[in-house]
Amino acid sequence: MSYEDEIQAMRDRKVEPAPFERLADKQVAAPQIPRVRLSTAAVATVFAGLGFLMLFLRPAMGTETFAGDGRLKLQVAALLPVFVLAWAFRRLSQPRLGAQLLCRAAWWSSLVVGLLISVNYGETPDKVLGSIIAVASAVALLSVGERGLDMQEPDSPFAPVRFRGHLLLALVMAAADALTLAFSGLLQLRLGMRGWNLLSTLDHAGPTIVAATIMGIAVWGVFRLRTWALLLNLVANIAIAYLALEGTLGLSPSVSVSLATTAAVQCFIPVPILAAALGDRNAGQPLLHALRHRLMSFTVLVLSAASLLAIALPGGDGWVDGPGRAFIRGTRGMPPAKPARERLDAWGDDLRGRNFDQQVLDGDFSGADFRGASLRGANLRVTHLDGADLRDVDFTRADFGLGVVVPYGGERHGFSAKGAVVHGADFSGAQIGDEDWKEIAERGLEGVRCPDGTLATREAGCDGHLGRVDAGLRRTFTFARTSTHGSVSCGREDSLTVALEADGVLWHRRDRYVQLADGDFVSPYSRIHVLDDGRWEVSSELCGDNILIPAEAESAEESAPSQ
Amino acid sequence: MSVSLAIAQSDQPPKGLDKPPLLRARDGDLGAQAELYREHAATLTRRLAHACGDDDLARDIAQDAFITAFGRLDRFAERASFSTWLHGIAFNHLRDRRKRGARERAGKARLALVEGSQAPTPEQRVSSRQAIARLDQVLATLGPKLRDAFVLRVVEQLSLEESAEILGARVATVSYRARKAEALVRAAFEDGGEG
Repeated sequence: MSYEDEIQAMRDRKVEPAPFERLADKQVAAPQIPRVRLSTAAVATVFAGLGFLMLFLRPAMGTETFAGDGRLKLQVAALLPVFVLAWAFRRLSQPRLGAQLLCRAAWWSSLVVGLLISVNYGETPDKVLGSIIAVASAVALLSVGERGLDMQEPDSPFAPVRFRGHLLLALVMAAADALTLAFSGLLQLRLGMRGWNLLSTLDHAGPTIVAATIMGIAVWGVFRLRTWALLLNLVANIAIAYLALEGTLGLSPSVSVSLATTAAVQCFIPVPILAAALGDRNAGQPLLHALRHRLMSFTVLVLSAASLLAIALPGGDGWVDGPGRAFIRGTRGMPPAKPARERLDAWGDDLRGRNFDQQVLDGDFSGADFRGASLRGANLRVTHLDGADLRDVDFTRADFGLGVVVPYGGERHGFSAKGAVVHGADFSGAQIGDEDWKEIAERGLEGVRCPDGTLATREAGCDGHLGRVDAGLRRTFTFARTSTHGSVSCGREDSLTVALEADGVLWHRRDRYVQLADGDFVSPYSRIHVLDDGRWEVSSELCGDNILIPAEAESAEESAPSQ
Repeated sequence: MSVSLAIAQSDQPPKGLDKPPLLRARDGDLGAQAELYREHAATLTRRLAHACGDDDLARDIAQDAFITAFGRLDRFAERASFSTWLHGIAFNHLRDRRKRGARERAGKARLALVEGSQAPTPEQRVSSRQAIARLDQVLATLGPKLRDAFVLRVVEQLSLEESAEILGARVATVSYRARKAEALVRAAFEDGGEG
């Protein structure tokens, strides 16, 4: 036969298709989720989604306003799980492995996020909503179980020959982590939105969003059974565990510990697969295979029960680090040293003997035990030390902000130390405003060294001994112009007094918006450049650029406030 | 909605019989799905058999393709015809099967190549069935992309546009593959001697 004849023979060939009835048999044979369980999961998903929606609308329902400081106060991050759960609701009846996996990831993520909200948020309505979310997600997970995850799809890229259980677990946990990290990143974006400054925003949310993206890529790759994705998943989990505990992710201690725990668990999942890849034939024997379902159910029950119990507990440490959190953002050596971050351990109220020299303590340390700690040159302008034990603390040259209240994250923060005990503390050279000193002195000044280096007396305390900068080390400037940035008014017509310490450190007084620094005149907040004509060119995050014009020497002396 | 749900509803009286089968199938009408199956299954199975060289596998993949298509009818945008869309799904399934069984098939292909290089016996040339077997052997020596393009363009005589739509490739690419595959097949026949 010729080539053409053979082609024609092939065209004429009859291949009987399978009868239509076999389609039904084939589809019925596929694992299906019972309708009752599907309905239960669907209702639970709706409840979880409504919980997040209520969180989103909370600012509008309470005493807060929708907008403040030029931006909306809605909890935009809560919309992410709303959309994810809405997607899960729509897809959960689909007999597609991808849909079933992502439904599990959405529920697991919501369970963890709900639990952390109920544990960490201070107000009861938030705690209740978190608990509703956690319990609803748990109901969805328990009602569906592992049904639908065992389907073999002919067109799915996820068709592993071995380790299906390991890979499914890795996928669900990684996807849940990616969602949780994305939620955290969105929460952080809100803090970083001050003035819509891109760098500030990235500083807050950048590492978290990058981590979420990498986990998302790993999920995509593992679903396609790519080896690099498994390795990426392993490396990303190690990195996330480290960064969460080290503080780079900028999340509160309990959220960080939670993320680190799930990341650590995930680190072990790919080990048998990699071992098998390296030639270990016995790798991945399912030791706990029979117990797996019970173990998962037990975990879900424990987490949801914990969220219910958390309603009765007092508020935790929030979700995102920042004001009001136990967090230290330090600058080792004053500027221009690169700002460094240091995290306390997640449960640390015991700070006895710790060294925080030259660091910025930006957080709530109410009730913490600082006995014998060293805070020489520390910046305490927005630190809350209410009720803290500050006995024998070295506050030499610490900066208490002189009563300045700074705007931060749409709120106003300043130093406070109501009810703190300071016996034996050394405040030599510290910059302390009168009002702040009243709080410090409230419970006695026994053995305290005053800011001017003298010992406090039983009768007068440190009255008259709060300042130490000589008048000769003061310079007075006026702003070249005034400007308004949103609700902030920058620059003034009257003079600005700047004190120069003997070692060249500058500090500002009576000005709320331009913080001056030392050395090369760089600080996280402002930059100063001394011009040839003696004027200072300053630039601050809030107020933009301005010029400080030095007053005459004799005027400076006159304008210097008496100590 | 899944096919199983449609099957579960099959005892209900059919609704909207005036609608085209595609719309009724989208609503879960089992009769309409059967109608579509009868219309397209034979052609699809034959083309898949040419592409994979295994009738049973072709039937299996065709069924998977119909199940997938019926499950996703709500996503069928009618950008192409139903037949083209269905063939696209089926060839995706085929590609997946090839990936999963690549090692085994590679072994078979190598075997086929060795056997195919031998001169056919006179008995092998006497029937069309044997001719198809011989063509199958030659096709097995081609890569899957070349084989698919050859089957759709040369054997099934589909247009370039439709072939490209089914294979998810550009028209120029499919044209190149089909021409290259045809040249290789012709060369194989000439090397083996024509009857």
